Amino acid sequence: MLGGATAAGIAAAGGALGEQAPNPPIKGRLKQSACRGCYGRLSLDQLCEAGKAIGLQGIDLVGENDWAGVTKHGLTVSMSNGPGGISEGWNHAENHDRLVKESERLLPLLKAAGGPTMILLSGNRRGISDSEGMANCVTGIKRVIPLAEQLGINLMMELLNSKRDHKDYQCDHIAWGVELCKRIGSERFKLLYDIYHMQIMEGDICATIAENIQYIGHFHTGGVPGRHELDETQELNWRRIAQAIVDSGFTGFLAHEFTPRHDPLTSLRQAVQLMDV
Amino acid sequence: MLGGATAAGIAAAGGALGEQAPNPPIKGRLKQSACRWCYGGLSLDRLCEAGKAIGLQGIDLLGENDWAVCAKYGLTPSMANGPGNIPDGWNHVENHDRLVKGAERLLPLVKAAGAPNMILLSGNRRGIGDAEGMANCVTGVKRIIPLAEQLGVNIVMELLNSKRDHKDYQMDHTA
Repeated sequence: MLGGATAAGIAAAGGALGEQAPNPPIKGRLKQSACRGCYGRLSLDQLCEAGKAIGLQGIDLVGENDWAGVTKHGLTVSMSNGPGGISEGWNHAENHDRLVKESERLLPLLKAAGGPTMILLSGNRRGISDSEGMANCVTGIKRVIPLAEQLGINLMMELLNSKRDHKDYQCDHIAWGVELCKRIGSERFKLLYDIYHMQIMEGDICATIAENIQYIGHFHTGGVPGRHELDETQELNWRRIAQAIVDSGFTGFLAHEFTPRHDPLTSLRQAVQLMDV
Repeated sequence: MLGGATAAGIAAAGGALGEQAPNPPIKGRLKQSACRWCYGGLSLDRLCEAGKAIGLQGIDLLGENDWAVCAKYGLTPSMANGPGNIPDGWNHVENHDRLVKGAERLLPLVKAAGAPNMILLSGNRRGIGDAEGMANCVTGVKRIIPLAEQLGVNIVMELLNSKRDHKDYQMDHTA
């Protein structure tokens, strides 16, 4: 995993890492990724090159124009951008035609780029009850399931907190998400369990993961409070959480999605090492 | 805070502590206590003596017979046991007379023991909605508020999880 990066490459990618090279070896039992949006000050090439040296195996939340920029570094597009946005999603039937059309355009492209996963979002409630929103999500998402199954692409709906950051977002509790998975009934539809968001909504992280791992296909991190580094300023014991994920038999990706307060690549490296149980 | 404990006292208090003496100094900006029941393998005297050396300032969840033991070590009974229990609490009106009577007996004793707080528990829902349980708690607890105010004793209701450990307990969310 470290073979592709040269010391000069690491030094070029952000500066601070150059002082600390070489990167320590990574066990890699938990495949780790990082969300592109958290590293806006780095070019995608810098992020990929340094990330790979740190031990990343993928980059999350990149759009179609950047997929090739990820895969050329030997990294996976571990979670592709999908149709719709956080507030406008599958829970409102009037969005379905647009979302289905965009999914049908994106999915073959994603397959060609190596996949494996595209994000979906429930949307905000805007007056729709949890049961009605669920029924609408089932109806809409089932329209793209056959194509996803045919192509072998995973669709994953993200759990977000509706308490502090995304008021009114509907897919905000594990129970709702799991019920949605059951009703859709496809191995190609699972949940993106964002640990930052679920700590805010429900807590009980390790037990919830263990109980629902069959419906969880992907993880995001982020320190609580503040969504910053996974360090001593945060209320969760991230290493214990990583162990719980590995113990569950999970084989997907865990992507870091925190806003670094310190040197971005130094913080990312610390997070990768912390979660490398 | 550590002045009252001798090295021999620390060593006597449970064995393992003897290997680690002396205890490091405590800033004490956060007053710390420990719940009695978590240390059932120790006598209350041993818990108080060793706890004080560690830096505790109080012991939680002691019954009336144990408050004086706590106090003799210079520790505060930081949360006194109160009337009722986890499943049978203030959210059901049929419990109120019994709970009020228990509280009226205990509160002057709590005051005399120097304990600042007495615990209350909502009780299990047993079919009662959150609005009804809330209204019942207000009615019942208000019956002992004047005495608590007069004595200067805090009455404190505990938030518990109803998901894994105390199914059906009503006071399970901060809001």
